Amino acid sequence: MTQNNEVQESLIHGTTDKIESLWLIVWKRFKKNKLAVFGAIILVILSLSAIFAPLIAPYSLEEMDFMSMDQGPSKAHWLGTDSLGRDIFSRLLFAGRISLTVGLVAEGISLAIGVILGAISGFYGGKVDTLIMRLVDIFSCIPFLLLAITVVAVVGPSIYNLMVVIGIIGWTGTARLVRGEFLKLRNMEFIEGAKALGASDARLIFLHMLPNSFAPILVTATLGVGSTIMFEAALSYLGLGVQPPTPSWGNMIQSANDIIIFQDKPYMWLPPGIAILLAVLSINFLGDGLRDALDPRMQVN
Amino acid sequence: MRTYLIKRILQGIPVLFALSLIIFFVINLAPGDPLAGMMDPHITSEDLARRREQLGLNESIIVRYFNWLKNALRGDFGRSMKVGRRPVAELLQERLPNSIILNVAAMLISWLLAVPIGIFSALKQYSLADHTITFFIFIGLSLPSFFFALLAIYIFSFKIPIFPIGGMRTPGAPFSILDILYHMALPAIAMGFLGIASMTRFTRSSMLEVVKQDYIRTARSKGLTEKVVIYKHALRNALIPIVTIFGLSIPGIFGGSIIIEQIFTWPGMGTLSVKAVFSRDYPVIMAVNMFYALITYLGNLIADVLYAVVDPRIRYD
Repeated sequence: MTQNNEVQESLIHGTTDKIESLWLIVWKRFKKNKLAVFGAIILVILSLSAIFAPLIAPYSLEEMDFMSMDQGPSKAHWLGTDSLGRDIFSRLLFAGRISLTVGLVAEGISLAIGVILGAISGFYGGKVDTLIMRLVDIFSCIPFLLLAITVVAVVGPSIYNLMVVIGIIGWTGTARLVRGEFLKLRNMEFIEGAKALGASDARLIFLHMLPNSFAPILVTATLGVGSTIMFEAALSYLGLGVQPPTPSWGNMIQSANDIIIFQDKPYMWLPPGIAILLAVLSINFLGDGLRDALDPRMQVN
Repeated sequence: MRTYLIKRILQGIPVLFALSLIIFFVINLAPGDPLAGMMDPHITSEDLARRREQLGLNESIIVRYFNWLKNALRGDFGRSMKVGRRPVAELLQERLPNSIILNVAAMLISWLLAVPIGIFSALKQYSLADHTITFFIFIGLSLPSFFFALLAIYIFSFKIPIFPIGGMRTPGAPFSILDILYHMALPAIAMGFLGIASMTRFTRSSMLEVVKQDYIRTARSKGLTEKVVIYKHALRNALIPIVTIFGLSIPGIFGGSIIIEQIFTWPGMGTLSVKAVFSRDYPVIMAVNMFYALITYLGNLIADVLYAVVDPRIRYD
């Protein structure tokens, strides 16, 4: 849309020298938002440290140093060791792998369900729409955390169950959003035009309507990864998520349940909490920056 | 309005019904039952079979569901399979007031702070103060509530020991409201502060939206003082969407308290839910889920009704 306006403007004013692509405009706007760029950089660093954890981590995941158990931060162990003599800094890096993966995969699942059901609902309307929206009502009637712990308690806590459960419960917001976008687009002229040319439903949905709802979907998906990481942390902290010995940021904070560790060894439970804060904060900055950058009402100067 | 209310309430019935069906089946189709965890060598298999019979675990799932539904409609949610086989309704009655006082206190804290901060931030848009507030909003939205609660306990119960670490009363002490308030302070502040982030953000954007409106320009151009424009014309309109948030936040604040209650060992609905889930106490899990669902549904309804009450432009006919 922005592109069209610019084309029109350049035609009117007779300036045909440069027409910027949509993505260049978005990138220009995004660059100006310092917090968003900061968030993106932190996320790249966190992702790289998660991907290359086995190379970066000074110790392996299972390595137990029986000579130095329960030790405070030192040169050999930057964040100290836990009661089994495992290096906390190394575990933090490996935990990042798990937490970020769970965040991405779970959000991916809920995004897929939300986009498909929302698209069907908004495109076809009528009885299908009513049915899907009632389903959304049912799912959004119970606080996410309660529903999640209920289901996880039934299917058993594991990293895979966690991803599936968060994904299956968390799609309602996306579905509502996509449905809303589709309802707006459905009556637009270019869609009617495509219909008149005999485009199939699938073509209309995937080639015309989805790409035009891309911006809000991208923003929700980005912010969704952040809240998914927080849910993973909460469930794992309660003992209903990722199970030890596999570390996740959430279950590493479980060490705070030991009153002595909680009181005297904050270096054991503070770093994973700060890691969650940093990751989610960066994602929120990024999502907010994307929202502004993708908003066609915002002006570039 | 009346027809609208009746329609909405009637619409809610199938939703709650479907929900109870789904949850009941999910819980009961799970492998293992509450007795599975009690594999005591002293209990013979005949004993176990008798216990199953007693708890009604031998009937078919459909029969069990309709039995549950029949009783639930009369307000009887069965007996807890753990906690001394007490009636579930009694457990809920006991826990609910505890949750309500904590949640109301937390809500008051966040509202009393968030609304003025949000309005201030909006009026000083792009100032240093606004940027600082926005930054803290982001921090608040990115902090997991349980981690924030742990930090609060660490700082205000251990480093600077002014608040108790948990519970609702000093063990052994006689009942006193002051004692409860003293125990409630830290969890309420922790919960309230977490709520501030989203409320401030909401108030700020609502105020920014209103200040842009034509009628504000009109008010200014007819020579009203800035004070009258802001406090009489802008503020009243900015508060419209905020009032509806009250309804929407009812279930949110109850749901959000699950993990906070757990950490502060506050004997409310949240701790009850977590405990029930861990011990597979089916009747309690069912009742708690249905309770939250009902609260959420009513919260949404209240939000819509309040919207019509405060904004005369909206009519439900």
